[in-house]
Amino acid sequence: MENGKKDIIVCEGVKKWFGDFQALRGVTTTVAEGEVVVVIGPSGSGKSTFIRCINRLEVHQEGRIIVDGIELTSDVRNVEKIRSEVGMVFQQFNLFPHLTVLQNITLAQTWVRKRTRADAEAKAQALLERVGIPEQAAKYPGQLSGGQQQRVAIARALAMDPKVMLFDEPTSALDPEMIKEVLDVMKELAHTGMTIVAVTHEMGFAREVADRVSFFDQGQIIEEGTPEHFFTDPQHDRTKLFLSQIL
Amino acid sequence: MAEVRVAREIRPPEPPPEASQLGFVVWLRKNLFNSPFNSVLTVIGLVGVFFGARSGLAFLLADERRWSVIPPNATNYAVEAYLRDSLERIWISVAIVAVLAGLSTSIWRPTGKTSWGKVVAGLRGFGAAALVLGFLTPGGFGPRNLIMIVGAAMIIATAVALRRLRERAKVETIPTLAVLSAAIVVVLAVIWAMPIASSTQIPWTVMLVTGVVAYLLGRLVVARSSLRVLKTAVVAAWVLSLPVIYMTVQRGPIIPWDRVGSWLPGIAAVTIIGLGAIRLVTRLDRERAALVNAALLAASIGVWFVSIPMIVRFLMIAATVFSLAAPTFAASSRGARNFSIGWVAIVLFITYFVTMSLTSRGLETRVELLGGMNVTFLLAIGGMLLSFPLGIMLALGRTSTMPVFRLMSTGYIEVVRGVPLITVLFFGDKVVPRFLPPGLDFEGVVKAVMVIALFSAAYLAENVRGGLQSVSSGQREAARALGMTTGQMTMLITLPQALRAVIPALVGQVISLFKDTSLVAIIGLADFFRVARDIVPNQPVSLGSVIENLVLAAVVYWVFTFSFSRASLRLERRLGVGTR
Repeated sequence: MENGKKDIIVCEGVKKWFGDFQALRGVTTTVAEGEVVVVIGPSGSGKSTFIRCINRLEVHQEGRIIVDGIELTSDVRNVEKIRSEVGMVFQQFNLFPHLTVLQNITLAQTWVRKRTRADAEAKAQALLERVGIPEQAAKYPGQLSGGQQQRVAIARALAMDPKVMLFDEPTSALDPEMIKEVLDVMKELAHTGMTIVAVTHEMGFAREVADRVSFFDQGQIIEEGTPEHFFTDPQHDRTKLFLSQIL
Repeated sequence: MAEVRVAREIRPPEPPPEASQLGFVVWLRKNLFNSPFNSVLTVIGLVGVFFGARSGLAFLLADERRWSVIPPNATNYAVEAYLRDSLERIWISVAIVAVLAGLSTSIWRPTGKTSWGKVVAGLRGFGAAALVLGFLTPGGFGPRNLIMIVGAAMIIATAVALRRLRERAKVETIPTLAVLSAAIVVVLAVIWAMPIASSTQIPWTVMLVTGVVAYLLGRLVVARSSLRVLKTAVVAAWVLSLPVIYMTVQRGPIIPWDRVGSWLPGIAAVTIIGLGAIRLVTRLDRERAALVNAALLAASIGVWFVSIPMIVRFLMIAATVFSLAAPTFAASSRGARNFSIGWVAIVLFITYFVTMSLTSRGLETRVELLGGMNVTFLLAIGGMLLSFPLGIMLALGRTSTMPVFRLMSTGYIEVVRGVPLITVLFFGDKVVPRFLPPGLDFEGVVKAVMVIALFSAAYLAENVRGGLQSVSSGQREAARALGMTTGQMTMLITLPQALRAVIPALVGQVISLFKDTSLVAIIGLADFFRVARDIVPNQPVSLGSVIENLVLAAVVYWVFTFSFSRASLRLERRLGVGTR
């Protein structure tokens, strides 16, 4: 919690099993409004499961998750309310291939946010402008490059005016030349005060814009701290080992 | 040590190497005679084709074939025993289709173009076919030589035309509309050239002209109003046209106003209840909306226990369905307005349908008045229209997470798929009426439509399920992450993609449904196939023309199913299947 801002995500002892395998072994953390948290960790450490629990794409079995003052329970209404406040960007983009870029961005605005078509289209066009591809509005996702698709996916999530943005390895499926264009959009977003939780392997991004870095392993947070602390003075042996392997 | 190499310059792109102009002989050698074994196979194949086609043609063109008995039976094929003095009802229904087709063409204007090259190449193929047919036809001089000469002339003329076209730099095109107009002219010419009674020629001409006029009027309307509204209206008109046509053909035109008048207060009350409910549930929060819906549900059950016209009970059920769906699909103010319009339209439709069903027939002679192509069309179109929504619901039920739905859908699909259509038809005809309240029985055609729809739905459901499985879980997650409800996700994201993915399988089901309609003969209906097999060969004018009629039936069914599969290819291309 910084500058007395309120906590928008609160997790207390979150546990999650897939069959007999325990993916989350009690995760406790909070994210303040406007904070940028980068989650890192080896594959299978539960970091993706964790952020997918925040908008209930995965259902946690024990512990509490409170987003924007609403606790995530099996009550469908709460879940849909929270999902419309929490934007999510996926590793595989998951754009709707049967709709144009513009329709991808306007669909949920009209059906979930109940905006008029004209409002939704104006918003979509403005967001495409913001992510730098206004000329692609009429194309289908399959006609765009990976980087462009991911920027459309970001625009699609932003169109809902979310209070939090979740990024689940947004650059892992991209060619090296396209990673930068997506990271630039994410950085711009971070600088405008958006609350961000991002799972990523882009250490440059973490160093430049993160307020906090969380290191996951074996379903729990091993170490948490500012990027300076993290990249210059890691404490836990596991963290040191991980950083030595990727840097 | 590796040598360092740096490109001096970026080369400009070059045009692709020109395709070598293969001569005919080179093509033959490359494709048909590229090895001794393949050469032998080619020769054997050609010999087989030659003798097969020759004996087939000999069979079709033998002296004892009497093809001239087909055209005088046109009315029998079309309507069988339908009262000859009431044929104008059939023509009215054809006119409805013609008007809708004309309007649709003007709204979904075919903007495509065909290149002249393609048309000429098609004509060349036609000429080549004529030449080969003439060559294969047994017998001496006469028409055979004429056909061959015409074929040869066409090949030469088109070869010259093609060369000319290739020399031009620009690709010359003709709009699809022009092709369509030319087709209409050709059809008219054929109608008037054939030895058909003028009582058939004149109405068909009128119908074609009606379609063209409807197209021209449609152009006028399109220029003046919103295309989106027009499209919705025309689609609705197509859906409504089937029961309207059925009623026009089967029932008298007189509406019993005294009876309808006594219903009006009830109908008006339910209409207002429905409008109010839609308004309420889209504005209240979820709990209160659920209360409203619960009250409506209770009321729609309650009306079955008080003395009230049947139509009001049905309308109450419809009102409940609308109100239940409203929070999901009509929550924006625009959506609520469209939903209200839809509700009023449904009330009008149900009122019309129930009124017409209770009206006495104007045609009192026999129960089954319909026959011929009319029945085949009615069964096929009615079966498709009903089986698609049903099949989609079954597929969704089978993939649902709710065990009751899943069990019911799976059970239904597995039972129906395990039983032959003939059995189901018998069941629908003989057994089901015993479970209905006394006095309530449907006409044979209606029963057959329902059975075919229920049967086909089980197969469609499995095809749709395959499509649903092909939609990646990421699509569902993305929809969920945007806050969509399960209903919105299904209707807007998963189903559109699932249906697109299985178009070929769906068309296959449509084709087999169309051919399966010929089985209704066993429950006493006189569809086109039965007319061709039993009825026409027993007419005095065409006594014993069994072979001619079987060939005709085969050709007619093939023409329809082949055009389905062509149409589905076009649809796939238009939806960009496989490229998006």
